[in-house]
Amino acid sequence: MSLWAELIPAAMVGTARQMPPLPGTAGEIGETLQAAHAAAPAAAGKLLGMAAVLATCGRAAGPQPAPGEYGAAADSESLPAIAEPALLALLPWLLQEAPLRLQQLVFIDFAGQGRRLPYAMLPAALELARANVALREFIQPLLGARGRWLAGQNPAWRFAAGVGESAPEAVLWSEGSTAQRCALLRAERQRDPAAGRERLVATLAELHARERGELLAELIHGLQLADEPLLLDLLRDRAREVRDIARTLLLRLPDGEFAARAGERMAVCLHQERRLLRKVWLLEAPEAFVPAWANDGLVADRPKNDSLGERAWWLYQLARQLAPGWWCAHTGLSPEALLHWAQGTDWVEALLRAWRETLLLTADAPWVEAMLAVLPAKLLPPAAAAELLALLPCDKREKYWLASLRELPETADPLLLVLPKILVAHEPGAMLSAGFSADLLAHLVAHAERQTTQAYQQRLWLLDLSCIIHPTVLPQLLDVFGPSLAGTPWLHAFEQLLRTRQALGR
Amino acid sequence: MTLNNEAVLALAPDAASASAARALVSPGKWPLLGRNDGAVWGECKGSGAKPYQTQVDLRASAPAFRCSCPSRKFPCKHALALLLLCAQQATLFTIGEPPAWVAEWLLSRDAKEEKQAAKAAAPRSEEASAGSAEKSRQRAGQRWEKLENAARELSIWLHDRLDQGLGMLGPAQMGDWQAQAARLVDAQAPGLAARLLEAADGIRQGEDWPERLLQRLGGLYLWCLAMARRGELSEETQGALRSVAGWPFEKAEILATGEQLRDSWSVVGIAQEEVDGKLLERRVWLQGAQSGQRALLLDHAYGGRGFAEPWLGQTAFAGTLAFFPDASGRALVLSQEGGAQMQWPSTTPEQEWDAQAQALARSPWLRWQPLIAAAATPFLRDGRAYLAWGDYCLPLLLGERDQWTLLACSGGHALKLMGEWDGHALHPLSAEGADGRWQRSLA
Repeated sequence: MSLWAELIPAAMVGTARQMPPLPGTAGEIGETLQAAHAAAPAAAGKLLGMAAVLATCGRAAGPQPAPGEYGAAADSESLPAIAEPALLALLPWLLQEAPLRLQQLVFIDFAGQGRRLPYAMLPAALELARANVALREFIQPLLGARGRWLAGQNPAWRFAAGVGESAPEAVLWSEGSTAQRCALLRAERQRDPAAGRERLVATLAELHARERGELLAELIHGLQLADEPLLLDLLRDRAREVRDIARTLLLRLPDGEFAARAGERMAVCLHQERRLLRKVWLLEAPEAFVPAWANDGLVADRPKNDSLGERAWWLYQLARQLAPGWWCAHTGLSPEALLHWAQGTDWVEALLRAWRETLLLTADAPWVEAMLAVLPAKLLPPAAAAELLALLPCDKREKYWLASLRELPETADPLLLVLPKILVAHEPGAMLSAGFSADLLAHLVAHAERQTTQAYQQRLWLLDLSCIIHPTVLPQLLDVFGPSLAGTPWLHAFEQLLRTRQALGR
Repeated sequence: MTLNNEAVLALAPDAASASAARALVSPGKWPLLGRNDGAVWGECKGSGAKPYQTQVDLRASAPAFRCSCPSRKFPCKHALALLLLCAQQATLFTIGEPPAWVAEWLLSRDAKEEKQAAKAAAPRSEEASAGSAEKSRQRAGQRWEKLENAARELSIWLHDRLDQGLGMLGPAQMGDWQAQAARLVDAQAPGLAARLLEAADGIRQGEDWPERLLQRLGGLYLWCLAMARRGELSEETQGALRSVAGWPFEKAEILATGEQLRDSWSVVGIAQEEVDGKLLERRVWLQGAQSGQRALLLDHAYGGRGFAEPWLGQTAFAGTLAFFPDASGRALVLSQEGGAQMQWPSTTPEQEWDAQAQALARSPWLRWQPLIAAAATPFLRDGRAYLAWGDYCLPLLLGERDQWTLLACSGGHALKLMGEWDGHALHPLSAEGADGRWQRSLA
């Protein structure tokens, strides 16, 4: 607006010092300005009059036409939206305040039915996924074309921006989100493992640590000896999570050279002796660190403040490169026997630590059960036991928990001792069986007077339990514990939870 | 009044009441629930020994509430929760005769209504009405005189400011501006005082502050010039001068002198914002389907009270509006019947800008223009929101959460959109896309 630019200097300096100029412009506006200029006797009046004309005419003129270029629109949807009124009414609460496990349950259910979220809920869902990394893989399938487009508009939501499910493979690989690329690699490894490996090798250099780890983990499908060179290479990767994943995969190749070398190294430490009438195995930790071991990812210096001594540290590293099956094969002992034997050696801490770690990676069921059965709580603290328990299939877990519930000492609080373990071991989307749920409820009710945990913690656990307990037992759970929640805001949360699960039918 | 979730929540005086009400919507908290044709009542367990007695009278178009709780909010969370419960689970309410405490209240309300109706309908004596007409003419004349004096004084003050120059304005000069605003308030021109203070707020804010300040001062000077030649101006323009000054119209004056129009009116957008601390202003924009006329319903709510009439966006009604005689498009609802469909007009951008210019020609001091885009696309550029509409690209002003829900509704496709234009940016209020609707969240 150059007309204003002509008036402003006089306005700033003051009309007492400078006469306002008459902006030179033709047409009706020019005439009106002239009239305003002429009508006022004083200089200030002339300026104010012209300002009034320009302000009003400028406002009436509206904005200048300008090109508004914007990017492509969202594609059309391939999935139907969630339409049940009961679920729609609960979605705002679900996306903002519901417990994590309930959210997982609902999202897995929606994805299983092939539904997407309604548009109005997309920003809340993307925000939830941004804040809660654990939920991202569950929310991604529910976004639909519009959700992916929206994610592309906000840098904070880029992680969700992949491409449509029906895009061709090449596009999916180059532009898809990490979850989509993992799915593609998985499918390819199942068809043609070598091609999958080549694809991964080609793209490794440009990925950052997290993505490298996630894609590498997909190599477990169709794992074969030919993959070993790549894995040995990645054993020396910069990122620890990638190294760990590489080691996991190598542990599953008992016939490879890695396993062979690991076996040789450990075999040196073990030897049999004759004691009386039996042969006994003896274990000696290595005396020195052989420099060649570093090639296989072993570290010579033990971390400060670690409870293991230097030799124990080396033994631990050697041990954790072996699949548990090697021990059984080499010594001829069963897992239970090996565990008993280990407790008799000087190196029990290193051995147990190594075995626990490898079990978490290989999930060898007989070993897990043996550890849970044989080891006392001193050597296997409850948190570690819970982690191992999570590796077992659901029905075995439930048997174990029932057993521990029955063995609870008279004065113990079942809520404090058993419930957290159940929650830690829970898989998203799964549910406790009806029988176990009923038994658990019976125990909780019977020992209600023994509950020593603080009310707040208790309610948190109960809320989480309500997400995973069997649907037939859920109303009874609320009946039992509901009255103690009356008058608190928790009651609302529980009622919403019940409504959500009923609307979902689970 | 129709009972559904949205309508009830629209009655809440603020967001805190709405969420407090939602937490109370559980049958366990209400030991007594009942309703009949015109009223809903219940007893709610509170923190005290006795439960709170809450009742709502639903017979008129605007509901009336009463609750024995000590809250100062109006309607309180118990009343809102009671209505929400009735909307969601009406079967919980026993239908029957109201208990004594409800029946008494309803009766007393009926008695009050009758008294008021009788007073309005009572024929006043001829001399009394002539006398009161003369008195009001005198009062009006006095008030105009005060405004004319204020205009002269303001004009001199504006001259002084421009003589001294805008470059010397800073915090030290604000006392003088506030004193001038106070003088305007004394002269019964609070609207002008508010505009002057707004102009003062803009001093040294942003790069183009001299231009914006001059625009505002020019607008004030225009008012002064118009007041000086008031006699030569039309009734309507004089009405505009009155409204800008903040001299409100009585309902009787509006009915007597303003235009009345019957049409099918669509509620195209609702804006709500806080002005001056605890005062809430609500602007409800209407579009006439046959006449193509736009109207504004302006309400204020103070303290914790909600608005008297609930309005829901993207609904419609058939009825008559009485327009204010001040060229502002402001109106009162005289009659209202249900059963109309929301309709979006299909005007081109050029037609909208033209209509805007016409409206400004009649009253140059309008703050807000309602704009309706038949097909426009919101988009982001460098983190800012814009609207692509025909050949135009307008900056959009809205909160972050609303921005994302609007983009989710559009998906990069064109929408029908309504917003308020303030001369620089568009404040979007409601939109409709191919698969859903969007409304700006209320403050």
